[in-house]
Amino acid sequence: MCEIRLSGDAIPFFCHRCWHTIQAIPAPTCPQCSLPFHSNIALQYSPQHRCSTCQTQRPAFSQAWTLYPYESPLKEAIKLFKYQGKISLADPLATLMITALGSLPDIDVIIPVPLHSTRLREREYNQSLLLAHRMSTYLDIPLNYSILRRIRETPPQTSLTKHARLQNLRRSFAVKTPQLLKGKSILLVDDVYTTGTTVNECAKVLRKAEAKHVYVVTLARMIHG
Amino acid sequence: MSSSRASHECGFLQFVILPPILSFLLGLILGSYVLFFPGSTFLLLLAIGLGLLWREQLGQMTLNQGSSIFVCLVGGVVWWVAMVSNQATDNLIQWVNVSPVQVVGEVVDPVRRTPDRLVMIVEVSHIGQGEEIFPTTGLLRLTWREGHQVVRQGNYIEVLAQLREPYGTRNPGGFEYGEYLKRKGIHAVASVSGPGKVQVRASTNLWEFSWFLEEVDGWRNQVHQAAVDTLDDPALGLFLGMIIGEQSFITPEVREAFMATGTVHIISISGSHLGLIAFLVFFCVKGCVLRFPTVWLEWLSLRVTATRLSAMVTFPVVSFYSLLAGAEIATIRSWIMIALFLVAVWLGREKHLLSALGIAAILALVTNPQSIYDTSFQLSYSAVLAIALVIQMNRRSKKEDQELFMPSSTWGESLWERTKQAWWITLAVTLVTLPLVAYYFNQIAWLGLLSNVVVVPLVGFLMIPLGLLSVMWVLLTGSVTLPLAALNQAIADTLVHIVTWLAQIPGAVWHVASPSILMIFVFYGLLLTIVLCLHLPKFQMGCAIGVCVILFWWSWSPRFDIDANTVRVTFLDVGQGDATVLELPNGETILIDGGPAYRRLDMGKAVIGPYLWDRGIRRLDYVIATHPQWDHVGGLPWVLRSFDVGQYWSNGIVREQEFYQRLQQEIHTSGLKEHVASKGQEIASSGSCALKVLSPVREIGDRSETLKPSMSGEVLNNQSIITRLDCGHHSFLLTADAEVDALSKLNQLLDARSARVVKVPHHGAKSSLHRGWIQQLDAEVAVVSVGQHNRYGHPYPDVVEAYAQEEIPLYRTDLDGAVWITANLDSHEMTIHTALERKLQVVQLNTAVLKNEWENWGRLWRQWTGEVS
Repeated sequence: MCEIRLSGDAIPFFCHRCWHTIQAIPAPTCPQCSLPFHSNIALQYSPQHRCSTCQTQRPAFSQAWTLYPYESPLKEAIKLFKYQGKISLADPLATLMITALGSLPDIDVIIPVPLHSTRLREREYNQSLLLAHRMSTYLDIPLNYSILRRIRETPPQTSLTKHARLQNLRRSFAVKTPQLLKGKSILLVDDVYTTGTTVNECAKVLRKAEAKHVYVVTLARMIHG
Repeated sequence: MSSSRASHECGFLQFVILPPILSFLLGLILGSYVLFFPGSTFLLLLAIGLGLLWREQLGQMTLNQGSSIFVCLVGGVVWWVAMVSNQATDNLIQWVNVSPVQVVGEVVDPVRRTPDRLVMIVEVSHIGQGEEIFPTTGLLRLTWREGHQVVRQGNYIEVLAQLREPYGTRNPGGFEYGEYLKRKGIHAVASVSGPGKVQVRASTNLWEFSWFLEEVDGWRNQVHQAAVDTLDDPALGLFLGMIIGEQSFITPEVREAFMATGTVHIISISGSHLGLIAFLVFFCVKGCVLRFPTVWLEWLSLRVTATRLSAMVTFPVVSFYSLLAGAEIATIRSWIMIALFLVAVWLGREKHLLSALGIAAILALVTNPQSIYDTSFQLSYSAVLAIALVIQMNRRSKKEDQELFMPSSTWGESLWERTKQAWWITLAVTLVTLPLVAYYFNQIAWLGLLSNVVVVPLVGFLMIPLGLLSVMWVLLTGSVTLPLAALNQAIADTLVHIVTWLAQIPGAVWHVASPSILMIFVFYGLLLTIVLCLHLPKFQMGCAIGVCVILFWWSWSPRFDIDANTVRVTFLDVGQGDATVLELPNGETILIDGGPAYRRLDMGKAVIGPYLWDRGIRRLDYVIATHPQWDHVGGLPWVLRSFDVGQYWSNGIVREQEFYQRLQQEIHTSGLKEHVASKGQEIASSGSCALKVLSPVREIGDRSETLKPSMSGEVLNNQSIITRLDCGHHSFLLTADAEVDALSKLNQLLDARSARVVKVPHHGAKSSLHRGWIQQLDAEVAVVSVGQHNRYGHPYPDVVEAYAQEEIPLYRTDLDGAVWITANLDSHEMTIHTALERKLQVVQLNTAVLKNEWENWGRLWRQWTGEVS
């Protein structure tokens, strides 16, 4: 990254210094989707003040924590982790998530955002599952990666415009055994939060299965402007 | 920033590892020349050091980088010198060429096995002579014929043998076996034959795993027996060759067909087999795993990825195959490379194929630096290098940090993609190995471009997997027959059919001159530039054109020095035997005799062919067999088969021996007429040149008399064809094996009994010492064609003495190597060259270093430019 030779660093591919430049999104943020606000005033008077997106269209999830800005060097780390098969980054990235995560409400089950089986076969692993797995171990909350399925193969969200993204994922997800989720609190794990469409679609189907709460945690968030 | 990120990441390790590896290689090469160019090497090292320092000053590289490169470079030089000077202190040399001695030592390399013999490299520890035992160090290459016993690396052996100096023939541009062995640190050779001649003692140290190797040997025997019982030729030969590394059952015809089609790497277990098996197992396992139900796959991915799992499964399979194949040096080399590559895959760094290659090369070279000059080392590494580069470039052209969303491609499309890539790889391998193959084998196997695309998948994905499965079956069930024999047989037969059919395509076997080393460097330089300058398409284009021009020039291999004013006579070094090539001013070529043909060394193929190709000669206008003796005509059948021959001349004597029958058979199949030479005939004449027969005297049409079945050697020798070539002011008297009787008759021909150049009759034998004839000679040069350490004691000391008395300089092919004389028709001028002149001489530091080094530069220049005149 910074072209310093790596020797014996705990984190693969990145030097100590670069890694420590990764800083969590600072407060204040939208209490529902964690969108950072420009100034402190936003939350000063009404702590439940939501961002405009959440206000216009209420997301299906109860709350989302989008922990870090999707910027260099985390961006590079996620790309390596996701697209280049560098699964050795799973541990340090999950550690990042765990350290930035504050206190959580009671959660019954952790569910990763699934990949379509075709994509899974290409990539050989689901990056969200790997993160979710580490979190589940750390939080001592059961992990369930088979209940939520992606049933439609869609082009990657990153390749589409905002409007197309919304359309793209319609009816892409399904819950296999809805009765198991009834009244449960769920923590949905994904790697990057861009417009929130993906997690929102997931949350929708989970809610349909009568889940009590759907919380979302993502490692990074794309911040516009 | 982000776009450069990914490329940095994958270029990272290479950037660190490759320059030191390359500089170590360069260091080794420099080291091998340091004895001949001490001053120049020192200056060069100094210059490189200063250059690196300068770049460091300019900020183009860090001190660390610069110093690691320099240290590796000097390390290479020192390493080579250390290994070689280590050998120089070996005292094994003093036992060479004395009476037979008792040798005790340890087998240090994997033993090479051929049907009837074992070749082992022995590190000698003691020499016993009479009652005394002397501690000794040095490497011995021991050949054991008909031993019928297994010897393995690590065994101690004891043998009574006559040690000899490694010796090979020396010819311009030719491969010099003796030097080759010496360069590998082997200063003595010996051979014994018969069971029990070598006492093998179980290994003591080093190999605690020898029981395991014996077990593997047992497996191999079991498989061998099952295969022999169930398969027929040629499938049997291919099966044994490919699966357990036994070459003995492959017929020469099949081998030549594979050679011609550029697929010879298929029939012996080489890197390509291991690579193919690794590829197959890897992708089969991966494919299967990825077809698991999603939940399984996700469960698995929490523990291990499909890629890692496949690497894990591939490794034992490849190791098993290497062991079964006999773990020869080439196999071990590929095994190391594949193992490193699998480790790279495991670490998710499979892009570092080049680094894996570099590390494998260094591992091989550190233990044995001389292998850098090994043909098989060079060929296999350059081939893998080519494959690695193609894969690398293919990767680079793909998008780096995005997965492409591709609609699932159809079967046909992906097959087409694969074929295309396979062809690119074949093209790259052919291109990169082409100069080496042309240099070492005088061949351009262009057909490999087509045949490999068909043959390699057939072998790699059908034959070997099927064979290995059958082997597993045999080993697991203890079955005495090979399962699926019919299928094995059918596939192998198909393969042989395809290859023999391809080999019959006219022009499939295309022989060329050895490219000069300088041109090879230029060629590789251009190729490298093409690979490196991907961003300069125009420049790349220029380089590609350059490559094409060189390729065209090489495959054309024209005779560019036909000179209407020069005649050239070459006495080739064919060991104990005769072979003389006359090149007349009008471009006509004449071969007189073809040297001997040992079972493993046909001088026609090993010396005469390469020499002619190097001269750009593809047609022999006249071939003369002076008399049917093995050391004169043994190599001729091969010559007749491989060259376009105008006329064939002999002395008409018929013999019953096998070599003669073979020769007659070949004359018949070539459709040649046998011209019987008799005194007074003019075999060739053109302008100012004429080749006349001086002996034997024979009545025309009187052939019955010569058909006596067996004749004494003396009669045969006296009946040999003596010829005289006259060209302007120059004359050459070629006396074949004439003995005293024939020489006396020759002595009566007052006008023709001498010449400016005389070939000494009968290798300087005592029975051909005719002092009267020698005394009348007014020759300026005499040449004797004779083999080193021959068992006849040729040349007889009195003969050498007789020429010395007449003050005629005597050139000897055993000491000087090949001798060639060029003469200008317009003048009396005549120049004589020997192969020995080309040999670099060690520069002693206390003598005239500069002068000696300068002479070595001259020799090196002539070697590298391939200048032969």
